Amino acid sequence: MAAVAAAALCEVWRSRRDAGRRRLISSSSMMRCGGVGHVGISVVCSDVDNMAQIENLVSPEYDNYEVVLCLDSARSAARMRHIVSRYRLLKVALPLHNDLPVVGVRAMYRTPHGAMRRVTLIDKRFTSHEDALDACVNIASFDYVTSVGRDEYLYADAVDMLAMQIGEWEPGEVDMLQCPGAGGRVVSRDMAVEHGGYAGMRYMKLSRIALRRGCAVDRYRIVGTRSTIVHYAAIITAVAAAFVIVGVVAGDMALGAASAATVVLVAASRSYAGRCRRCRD
Amino acid sequence: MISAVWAYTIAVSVLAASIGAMSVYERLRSARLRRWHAVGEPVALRIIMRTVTGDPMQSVRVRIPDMPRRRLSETMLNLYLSTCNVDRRAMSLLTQAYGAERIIGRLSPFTRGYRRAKRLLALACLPAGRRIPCCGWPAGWLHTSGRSIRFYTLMAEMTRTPALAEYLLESYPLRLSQTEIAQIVAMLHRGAMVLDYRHLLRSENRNMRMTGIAVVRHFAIDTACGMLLDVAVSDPDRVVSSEALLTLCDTGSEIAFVEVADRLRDMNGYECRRLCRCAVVNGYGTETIGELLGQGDREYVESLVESYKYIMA
Amino acid sequence: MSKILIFTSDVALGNIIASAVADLVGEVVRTASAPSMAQLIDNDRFALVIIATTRTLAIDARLDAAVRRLHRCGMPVFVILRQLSEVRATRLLRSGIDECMTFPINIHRLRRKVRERVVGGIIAES
Repeated sequence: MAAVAAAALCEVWRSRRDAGRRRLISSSSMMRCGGVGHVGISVVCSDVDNMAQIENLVSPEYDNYEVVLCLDSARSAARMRHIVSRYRLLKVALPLHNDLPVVGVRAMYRTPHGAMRRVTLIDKRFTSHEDALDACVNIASFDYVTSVGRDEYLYADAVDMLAMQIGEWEPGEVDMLQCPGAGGRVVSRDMAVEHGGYAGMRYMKLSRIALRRGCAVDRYRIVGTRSTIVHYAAIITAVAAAFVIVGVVAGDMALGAASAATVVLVAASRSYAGRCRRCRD
Repeated sequence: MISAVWAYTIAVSVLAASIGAMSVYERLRSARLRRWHAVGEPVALRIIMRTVTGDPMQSVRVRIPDMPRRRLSETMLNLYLSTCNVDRRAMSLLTQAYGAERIIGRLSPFTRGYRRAKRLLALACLPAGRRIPCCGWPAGWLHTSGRSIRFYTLMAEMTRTPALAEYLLESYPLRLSQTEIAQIVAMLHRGAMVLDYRHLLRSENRNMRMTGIAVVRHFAIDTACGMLLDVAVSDPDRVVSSEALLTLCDTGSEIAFVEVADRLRDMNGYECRRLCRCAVVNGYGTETIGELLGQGDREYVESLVESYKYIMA
Repeated sequence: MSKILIFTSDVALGNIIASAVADLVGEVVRTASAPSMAQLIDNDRFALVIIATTRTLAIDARLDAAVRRLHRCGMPVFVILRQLSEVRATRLLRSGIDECMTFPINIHRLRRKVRERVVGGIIAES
């Protein structure tokens, strides 16, 4: 219990430190009026056809940034046509050579050269999400890649923050940048190719790569009131269960109180850490 | 006598209550900040704008609103970060009148970590008045262990004494990262210091050369392409020559890749592919670079270039 | 008196731009969503529309549509972006935008351009 309490306090301390670092990066990012060196980020998505989410993904204004979407026209033909017309995508030739083996790619569309945003749409027969992401990685034009799932939205300053954090290291020194909490992972494109793409990285040992820890959560999900109620109900249940199981069933009220207090501490520290991470000012 | 378990329970309960109080404080702080943005900040900005946009030849009369000084300092910092060519004399008088430099100068020795670094950033951005000493405590922090504190101390010194900016950059003991160089270029854009890209590119110091390359890229100085090519060909540091090559690709100028053939052969796989991607994104064709690469990389470039070709029919 | 519409999702940035041009115009209206901007344009007449970052407009197609709509209503448009390359600036100007600016904002230049548009527009109308 003492170890759990100590871990909770460490999380609080780390969250405060990350919040300070994020505020500093946010201020220095506001000052910047260009890219961070040649740091470029590609966002890859599989089976994302929610237009509001796509709008959110293409809205960051960072210069070296693109979005690569992979959809199956057999499953969402109308949505694909809508995306092509909305973003004025033009059909381009399929690549001759792929770093990662993928099957079923039918067509590819890109925004015209000089467009405000770089969007690439791949029409591929759906086999698995990892396969679709690998097809996106093959096409990605920048050095760093991050995957975004359904119903995940990027914060307004997410790409700037990621670029600033990656730019703190020498080129090639970062294989993976892990965002805290519910954030995502930004991986080096070449590292992803070396380890067999997203399918291969699933079973990869993190000790084998240069893993860096970020300070800002880059994405969020839109949760309803019901999820919040369920979350708080779970906390109350956990506290009560700790007290009942240890105190009443085992017959030691002091130990029951201690375990309940530890659960409350953990819940409070997780809540505070989450608040620090979500704080954008 | 309280047993150890009860003592632990009480201690953990107190800690949990403290953390809960901190959460509440954060929530209140966010609410206060939102209120400031909605109510106080527009008023403060009106007064600041009237001062800085007035006739520079006239005497500046500063009206001091009854507002929290720290918020005023942050507003002035945000204004500086978002704008350029603001009258520095007027900003200096505002900084003094609003007590911003008292806040920056007084809090900085007592704040720690990233907060201290942010105060130093504010010191670097806001023009100094009479009260902050020109030397002494900021310079001493160049030798602390925190990287961000060292860097922002350097920034503060460079903006305080622009004439010594090149010297300070040259004598900085650490390697500047891409993020740090981007911030130096941003300060350059705002006219807070003056650096000559020719001196920077010809310097033997790595930080100076990297900064020079960043300046050329940011301001799109086409006349520097020859110097960039020299750096790309002859620089002993691989990272610097790689950055020079990438910047040359960004300019879109004609690059005689044959001249850098030796450098291309020395590049590792990561650097090579990075250059290929940058070249293709900037519209270079297979013939300009593909011939100088190995078989694997050539296929990669050809594949990338093909994937950018529109199908007309 | 003339009115200016400022369209931005960034509160602090909107405050800065509004305070920079407040003494040049009669009223400054601010909005952060595209639908409310469309409604304001339909219901009222503005001497100038300033779009600071295209974040909420997201991409060319919608920006073009918004600019065309503004032109149909006879309202000039200024766009302020974080980063702008020559190719993109040309593209924006070709789509009908009257002025492109980037960060950091040159306050004096912004005020001069707004004064030319707003005051020049009033003289032209009268």
